[in-house]
Amino acid sequence: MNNYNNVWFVIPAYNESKVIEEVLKVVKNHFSDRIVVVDDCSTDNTATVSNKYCDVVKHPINLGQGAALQTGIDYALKCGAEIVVTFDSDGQHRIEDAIKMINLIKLDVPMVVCGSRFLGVDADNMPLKKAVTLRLATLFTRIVTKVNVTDAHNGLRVMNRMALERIRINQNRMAHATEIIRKVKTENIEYKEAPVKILYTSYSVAKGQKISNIINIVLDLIIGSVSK
Amino acid sequence: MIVQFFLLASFSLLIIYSLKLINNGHITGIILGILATIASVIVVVPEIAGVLANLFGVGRGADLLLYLSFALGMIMFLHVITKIHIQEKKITELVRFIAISQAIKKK
Repeated sequence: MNNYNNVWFVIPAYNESKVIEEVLKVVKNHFSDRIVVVDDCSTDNTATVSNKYCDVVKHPINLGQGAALQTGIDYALKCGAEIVVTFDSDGQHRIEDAIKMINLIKLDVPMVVCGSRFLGVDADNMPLKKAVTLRLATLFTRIVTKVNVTDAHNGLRVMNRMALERIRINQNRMAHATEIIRKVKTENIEYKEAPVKILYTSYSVAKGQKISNIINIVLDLIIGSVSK
Repeated sequence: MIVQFFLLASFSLLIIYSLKLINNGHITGIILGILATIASVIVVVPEIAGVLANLFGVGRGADLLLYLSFALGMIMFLHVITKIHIQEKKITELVRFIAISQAIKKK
């Protein structure tokens, strides 16, 4: 079982002032002050609400979730994190799933544990359109990365410092999910998946990715490859 | 004549730009330079278009010119997209540096 004193939570957020307080209360109960919210230039008071519970790093311009994650990771590593958990700000993730994943992480090899909603745990209220989109995205990621993932776009991930020093997220927007998996393969990082339950609410479904975003993700990945 | 002048001027600018790219170590400069040179020759000596078209297995000189222009356009488009992507990366690093240096500790 890993020591929780070296675990940091990185929570990217954009206009989540309505829900983030509840998320932070739950995380804080288990992980005290080792939480950073990366506010991606929200137009509401996400930063102010979050700062009552944790450190806040605020982007002066909106860059995207991928960029926010890397900013949070850089901050957490600077604060001495040995394990970083990426956790969504919209209340979709459960803290008990994150704890289970933290206990799977080894510290002596670069390792990533990703949550998967398709490993036997039923999600609450997952819309059919969402399920189809995620399956297609997962198939695409498997083909592109040659890694046997079951849930390519799950924001609940646990990564140790050794892995994070090899993974640098360059995709600012949603293509970062595929980029992380690709780096797992190219950097020989140990990879595991853990079943997690995603809690869908009308709020989180409304804010979630649209099917049309797949086109943006593919284009971002192509441009990222060409401009290397 | 006027059209030839403008075409030649445009392709000459592309050749100069390709030399700049080659000087900065970009391989696309070589491809761009070759294509722009071929296009310039065709503008000056239009009859050669037919000869070159046969050489490349394309029907007519005009078709060859069209394909060359398309290829040139795609190369320039990819080049610009790549430059924009590089600029975005630099902006991201700068924004990240500012954000972390101004991090707000928990109240």
